[in-house]
Amino acid sequence: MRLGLFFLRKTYNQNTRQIWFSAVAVAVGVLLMLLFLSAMNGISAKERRSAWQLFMIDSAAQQPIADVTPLYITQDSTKNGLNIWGNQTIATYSLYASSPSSPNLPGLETPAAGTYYASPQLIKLIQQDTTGLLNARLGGVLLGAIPDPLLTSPEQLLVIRGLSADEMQKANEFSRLSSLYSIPKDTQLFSRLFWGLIIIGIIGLLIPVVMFISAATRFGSVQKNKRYAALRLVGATRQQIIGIASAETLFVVLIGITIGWLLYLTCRPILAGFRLSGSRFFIEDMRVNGEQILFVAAATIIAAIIANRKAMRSVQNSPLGVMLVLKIDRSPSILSIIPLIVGFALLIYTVIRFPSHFIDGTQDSILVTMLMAAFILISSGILLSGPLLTKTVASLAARISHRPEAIIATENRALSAPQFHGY
Amino acid sequence: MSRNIVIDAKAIRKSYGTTEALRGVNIAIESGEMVAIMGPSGSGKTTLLLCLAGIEQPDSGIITFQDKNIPELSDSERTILRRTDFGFVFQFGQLVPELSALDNVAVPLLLNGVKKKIAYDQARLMLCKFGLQGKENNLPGELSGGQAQRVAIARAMIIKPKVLFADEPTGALDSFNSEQIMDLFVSIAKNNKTAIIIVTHEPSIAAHADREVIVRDGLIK
Repeated sequence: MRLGLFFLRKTYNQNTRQIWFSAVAVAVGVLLMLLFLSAMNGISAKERRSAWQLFMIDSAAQQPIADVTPLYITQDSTKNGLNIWGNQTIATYSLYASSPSSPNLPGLETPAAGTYYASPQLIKLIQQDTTGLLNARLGGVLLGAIPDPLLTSPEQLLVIRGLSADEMQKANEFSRLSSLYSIPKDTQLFSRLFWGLIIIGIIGLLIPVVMFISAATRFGSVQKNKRYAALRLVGATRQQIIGIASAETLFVVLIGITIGWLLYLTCRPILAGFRLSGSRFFIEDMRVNGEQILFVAAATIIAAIIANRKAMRSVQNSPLGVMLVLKIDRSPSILSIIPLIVGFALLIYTVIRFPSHFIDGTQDSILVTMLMAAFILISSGILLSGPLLTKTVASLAARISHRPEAIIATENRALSAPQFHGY
Repeated sequence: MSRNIVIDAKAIRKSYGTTEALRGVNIAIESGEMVAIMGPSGSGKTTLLLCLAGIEQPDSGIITFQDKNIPELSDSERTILRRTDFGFVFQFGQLVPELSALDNVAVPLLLNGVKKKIAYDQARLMLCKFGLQGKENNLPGELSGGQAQRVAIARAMIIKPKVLFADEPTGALDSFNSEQIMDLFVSIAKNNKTAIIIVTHEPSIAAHADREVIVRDGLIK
């Protein structure tokens, strides 16, 4: 590795363009993976944030507990559209604490009758409403802002107001809560189908990442091959060449991960601005954790090493390097398209066979397995049939082209399809 | 007087597909001897050089160097031979394009684990010896053809090789530079007792050698 760092330092000035091109390619891959994981975290956090609002379905929370006086809670139903402001819905929860020891919502004192808390976005609307209609509609005294952990989105319009015992008795439907609904951290919020789709997504993202890095590694590969061949000629062992190449790859990957991370930090607010169920995400919910960062870094490094080793295979064969790397290209086999066809057939069959599962989200391990199998077949099929597809498309393009340069270019591409794909 | 054979090849055969490049070649080279391998294009002279140097594996035959049969050595053993006992000067492409002349000459020592300061001091001396003082920091692309070949020779000679393999070393040079390079080879062979094997198709270059060997149709005539 010391020798690798020495060569990296010595050759950096001459390879700046290639190193930075590769690093940007790595960065794009890293960005894609981080954004994907970020989105998953955001969706998961949004689900968790709304957990306290599910008190109606939580029978455990409604079981009386000795020495605990319950908190009465009710969700106000629509009254002549009075819960709509502009085109947004104002969710309203009314509470009555039967004693000071009744449970409270996390981070919020139960408001007394005639007072209420509002979400920051709603407070902003109240302040902007010069007619005073919104304030009048809500009634009572505003105590302050509802803390973020109780909101599903920074723009959620939410009111938590206090009722008297009489007012609560008049409510059509209310719950007595001895404890508040919350989701244990290790609880799986999402179905097996959902996680299956996440794994498919990660595999799907890793493939373009590998392709990005592979393409970037090939950029300037003739120059690299010359360098490594010259070193082999004067007695560099394969291990030394691997060390030199690994140092360069590691350097590129580290720059790529850093750029990818910075791009991710830039893009995270944009991603948080996307609306799911009509509302944005909290930026802090989009954060990726340490394990996820390690996963992305490890996946990128492994992908880079695989791509680099593949690109270098020919150089290691001979100290004459580029002089002896000539390979007789086999014509791409028609059989290479089979995994792609089978993958698409499986996907179509799955969609037709299980249409209701896509609608109601039924947990079905067969469905997940079939989707994953179809996706893996399609992904590997694209890689395997790449030369054949390139050759076919280029041959067709050559046939319909009229300009001489287009004919030459497309015929060349058709002839060199295996080389183009690195096989 | 006993002959001091450095490299001894017997019955070397090498084919590429159905084409027989070497068909049972025998050749022995002595220490300090300069041998020119000549022949028309495609006669097998470069293949012979690459086989003798352990870069190409012959299909059959024995190539003895220091009591070792080169074709039987592993890839790493042959690599170490190139690093310690064999030097190479080719027509093109043997210098690392991104490294300066000084770095290029120091590389074989660095690969051998020699300390950086010692390697660079020796490389500087070697460049000076071959008339390249002031060109230490030039990249190969910034040197003339003759200068680049002298850097390649300096790099080959820094390990004090027992055999120097040169494939068309003057192929890209004008006659003046070619003469200079050949004079260098002659003095290396005499002063360092290095065996030099030169592949060339130019009789004027071969004339500098102690012996000329003609390869035709994969055989030495």
